[in-house]
Amino acid sequence: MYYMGIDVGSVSTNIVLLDKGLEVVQEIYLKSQGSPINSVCEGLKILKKKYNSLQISGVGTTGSGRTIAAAVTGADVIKNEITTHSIAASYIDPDVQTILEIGGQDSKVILLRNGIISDFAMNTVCAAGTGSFLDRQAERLGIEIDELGSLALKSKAPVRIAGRCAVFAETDIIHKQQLGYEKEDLIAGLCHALVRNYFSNLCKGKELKDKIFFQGGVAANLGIKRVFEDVLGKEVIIPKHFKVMGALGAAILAKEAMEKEESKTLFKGFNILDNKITTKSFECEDCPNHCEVIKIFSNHSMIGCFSDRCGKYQASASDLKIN
Amino acid sequence: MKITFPHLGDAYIAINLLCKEMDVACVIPPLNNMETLEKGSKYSPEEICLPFKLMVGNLMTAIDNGADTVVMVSSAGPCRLGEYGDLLKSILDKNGYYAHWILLDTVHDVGVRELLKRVGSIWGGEKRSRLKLLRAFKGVYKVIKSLESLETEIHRLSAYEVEKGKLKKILYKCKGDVYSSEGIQMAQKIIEKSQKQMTQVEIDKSKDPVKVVLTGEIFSLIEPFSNQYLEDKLMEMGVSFFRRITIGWWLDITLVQPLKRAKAMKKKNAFLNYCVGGYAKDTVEEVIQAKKDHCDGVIQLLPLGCMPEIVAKSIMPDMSEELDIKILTVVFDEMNGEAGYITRIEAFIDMLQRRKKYVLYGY
Repeated sequence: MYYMGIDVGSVSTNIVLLDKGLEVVQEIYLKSQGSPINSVCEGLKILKKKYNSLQISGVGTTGSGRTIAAAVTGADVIKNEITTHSIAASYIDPDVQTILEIGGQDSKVILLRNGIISDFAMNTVCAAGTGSFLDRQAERLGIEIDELGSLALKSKAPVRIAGRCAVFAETDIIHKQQLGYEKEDLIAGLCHALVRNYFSNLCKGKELKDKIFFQGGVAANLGIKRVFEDVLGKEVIIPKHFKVMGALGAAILAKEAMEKEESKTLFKGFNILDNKITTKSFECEDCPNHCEVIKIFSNHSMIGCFSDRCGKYQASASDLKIN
Repeated sequence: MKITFPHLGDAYIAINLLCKEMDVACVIPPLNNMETLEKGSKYSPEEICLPFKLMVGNLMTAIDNGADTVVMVSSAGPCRLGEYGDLLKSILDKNGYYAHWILLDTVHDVGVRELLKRVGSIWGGEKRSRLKLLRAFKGVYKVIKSLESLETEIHRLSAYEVEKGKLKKILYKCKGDVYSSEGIQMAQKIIEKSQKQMTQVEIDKSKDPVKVVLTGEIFSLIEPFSNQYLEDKLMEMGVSFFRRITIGWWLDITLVQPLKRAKAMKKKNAFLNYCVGGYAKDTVEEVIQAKKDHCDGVIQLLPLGCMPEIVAKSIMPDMSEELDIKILTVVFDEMNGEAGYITRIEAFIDMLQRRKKYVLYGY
């Protein structure tokens, strides 16, 4: 009896397997590399070697690719990442009141009171304060992203870098780099800029109470953690499964839902890996809306369809399921 | 002479009826889509807001389709809409899209005589009786009002329906039929029929959905393309919601009851006492009203770079705390990938649902 949680994010795809007592038995962290479907299949392949389909009694998906992942695997619960992150955090420690989460394309702050979300904020339209920005800068400076944190910790005098906008920040870094600043100081400056951006973007007018969790892929960067602690003047805790908290929350929700309804899981089994999964998108021209419709096929039979506003393609997809 | 106008939600339905009634040929640009946006953003200033870009796209397509006169409302207000007319004309002219422009500014700005003269110029050299215009306007006003009351009711009720999607279908069928109807009387009948259909839809009164108020910038609220069809999503999610700001509301405050509006503008509240342009003060007042109506939350919509709404947005955290009401601000721009903003809306609704279940008062 295992419950699977799948978090399909912009940068990584994470899969978590929980046993009945909600202990993590398997944790998979893969790079999405532009194709969420492939990375989900990749993760399932790893699981297939150890487990069989009947052992999975519930599946939950989350992350920006949650609907696609759900169509491919057959999910029982589809939830947004804000809810799943907070559920996972308050499961690990019921006293958590603040969650700082920085992922690949978005950053969010979630305030919990007594285990219930009381407020949240997400970055608006720019990716300045997020992981992909760090990724890009690390690449430009010729450093592995994993080394970024430890290098930042070595710095004694962080350089001041404009963090409001990713493009401005990059220009700033290049200028300062040409002036001959050390790499460590540049990276520490980058961490400061990211945190400054995070606070001015998301945390205005919000009370960040203890305990504070820092999760998401960027939490691996100890430099950022230290800046957060400096700015807040409080301890920031990085939970053990910080990279896969979303998936963990989705798995917990799947368990809750399956136990409540006492129904059988919709999971299609690991056999889906034997089929070739392809997507096809086209612009529907039947009305002025011109929806960009996406269809997902498994061996030429349609298993899902999205983005049609009138719902006629989706309706035909659900007919297929019944047959 | 063929007139055209930029899109604003269901305004095209009303204007189409009015044109039929007054016997004026009009070219309606295709409903907003990605093509409109691409065209519009190609020729607009980079930093201008989304509504402007869409309007440029609308008018260009309409002129391509044979329109030769642009009629649009404008107001010399503190919002950029005040300059929309002239700026639009200058951009279109520069790119070889020539048309005759008739800008309908408010009475407050240009006076009754000038406005009537401008309205009169829509008929070109021909004469139309003012009485006929008044009658037609009154008829169309009634149609749009009853269409909106149907819409408001469906927004409220769709969360309670037993079989999901029925009410939404009635609403869209009604809008389509009114658009292709031949005149005001027929349109009224269609709406009455839909109203009857609506009351016959089976609803489950034991449901307790979250109640949300939509507020914010007028274009983003009314034009479904610019808010990524948010209202359809909310109906699918089973949220009971209310939006005061409609075409009818706008007609009321500018044309039908300007005195009432003037009085309302003077009314003070604890958060924003003065008009800072656009409808920022209304947005703030909507939040206060939402609290009085025992709503669970408020969603504020604005296009990126909308000055008045940014002012309102910055007041939101204080209001949220003092009034104990949850507020979500969603900013829209050219991006049309839905994943990001759906996450925000879903999370907000999810939060309200969970709180409804577990929290009786306060945080």
